[in-house]
Amino acid sequence: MTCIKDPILLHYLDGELRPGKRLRVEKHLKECTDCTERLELMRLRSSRIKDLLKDLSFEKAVRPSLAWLSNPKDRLPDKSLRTWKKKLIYGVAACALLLVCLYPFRHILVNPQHQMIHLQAMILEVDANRPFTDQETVITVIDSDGNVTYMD
Amino acid sequence: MSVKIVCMKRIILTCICLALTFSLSSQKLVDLYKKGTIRLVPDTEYAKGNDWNNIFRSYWDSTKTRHRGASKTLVLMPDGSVVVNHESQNYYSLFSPQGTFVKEFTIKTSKGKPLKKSLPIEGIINGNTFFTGIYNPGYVNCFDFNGKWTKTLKMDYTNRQMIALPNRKIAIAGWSLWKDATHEFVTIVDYDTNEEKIVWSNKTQENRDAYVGSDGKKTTTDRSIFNYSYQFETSYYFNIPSSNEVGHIEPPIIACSGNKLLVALSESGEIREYDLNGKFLSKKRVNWPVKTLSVSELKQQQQERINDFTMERFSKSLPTIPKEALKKAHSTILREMKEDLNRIIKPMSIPCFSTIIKDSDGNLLFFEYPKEEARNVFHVWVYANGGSFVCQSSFVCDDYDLIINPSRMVFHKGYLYSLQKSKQASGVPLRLVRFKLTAN
Repeated sequence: MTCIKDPILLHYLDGELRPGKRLRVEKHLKECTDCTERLELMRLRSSRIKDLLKDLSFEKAVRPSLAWLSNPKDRLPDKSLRTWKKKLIYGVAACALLLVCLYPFRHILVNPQHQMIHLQAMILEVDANRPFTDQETVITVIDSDGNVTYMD
Repeated sequence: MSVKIVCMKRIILTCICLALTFSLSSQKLVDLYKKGTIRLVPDTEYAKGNDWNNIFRSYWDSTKTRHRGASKTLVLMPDGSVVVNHESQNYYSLFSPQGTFVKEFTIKTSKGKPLKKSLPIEGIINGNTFFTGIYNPGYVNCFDFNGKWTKTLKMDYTNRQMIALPNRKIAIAGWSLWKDATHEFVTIVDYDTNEEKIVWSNKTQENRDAYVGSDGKKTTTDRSIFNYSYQFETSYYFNIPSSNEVGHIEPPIIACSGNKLLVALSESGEIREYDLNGKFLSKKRVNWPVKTLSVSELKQQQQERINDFTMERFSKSLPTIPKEALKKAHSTILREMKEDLNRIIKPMSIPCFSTIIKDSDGNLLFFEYPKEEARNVFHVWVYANGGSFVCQSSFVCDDYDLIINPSRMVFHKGYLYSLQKSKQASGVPLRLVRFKLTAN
């Protein structure tokens, strides 16, 4: 007596066999304990898998953020990501526009100390009683508005 | 008719007497100079009883970057009264011809309100009008002896020196910055029309020579020798100024002698003559030898500079900069200083003269740079007698530390009016003093 192969048993289990073939399988299963045991094992596995699939279908999918960062291929666009991108683009655009608008007023807005355009060391007041190399010198700082200040 | 003849005789006699007086007076000062050392003797009756601690109360004033209070200058009025300028203050101090403090005054606008900011008075034009230095962005305030504003002249540069000419004009040694250079020039400005004429001009040149580095390789640099600067990340710029920086162009010194404007160039020793409208007449050169600092002297100075540039002193001058940034800057500047030791390969000539003071006889005193501090020795170039070198002389003073500068020393009727530091004073040491010149 030839035992039933696994694929046919699986089709039987799923109710996918034609009636004539299903009768022949049932007749064999009554006489063969090996095939009966294999069928029961398959039924048990199938039941577990179905239970698992049932659980998954009700659970809300959660994707850890670090997971897709570490693996960019897994990245999937979702609504929150699209919003973040939009915010970034709009923010950069707004900053650029602000900078363009403020550019003509840059010399007013920026601290004059940052606008030193020239420095020159010069003798402030010559003293004919001191050697040339010991004269009191100061740094002349001229800002972009032409204001002159002196620093020791 | 006889009365007219008598009058004429009197006038002629008076003229001769005046001419003789001037002639003798002129001889007197030149003769003094020829005797060598001149002792400056303070007139003890002059400026007696003044409360100097109060009058010069701004003496100790300082800003974050400079001690400015000691920077005071004087201007002499035709009657011998003196006006003292206080840098960074908007008032002036007036002293009588006897040196007694009279009052403090400010420039008042046409509405009678005092100006909040004014620069030191540089001179007197037309015998009745003060004019200040050039206040940014280029205004010169003119006002009468009561402080009442009369007019504003407009220039677009900054002054180093300003002198009044006898033809209602002002000569200005000025400077301005162009994109790639500093321009030094001399202009004549008409007081009435504000019209300017440039008489002389020059621009600075930076030395960017190649030099042999400590590793023996020929190196080029954008940094001028003896010039050290550092840009901190906090936008704070640090610079160590040096008067012996190569490429440092000495500005011209101007003086008026009779009907001539003189432009003296201290580096070459050239003296150029112009008429009072700025027309070039002639040029000549001083005839004393040019002095130099030898390579070994320059190296010794540089080594002293390196020794003085300690981290401790550096951090004190920049208290707000973080320590790590300071260390980095200090090591960079120190390395550049050591590099410059190898860059010193030739002697450096010292400018022929430092400054010019006109005495009350019209003689021009040319002061050379001394080798040592407070040496009190100078050359006298008597321009009024044909512009020839006459002698070498010196000023000696027992009671005061002399600062020799035309803004602190003004001759008037044979006396020298001066702002000097008293050696024995308690409190504010600065004094307005009148010196009598005597042969030592």
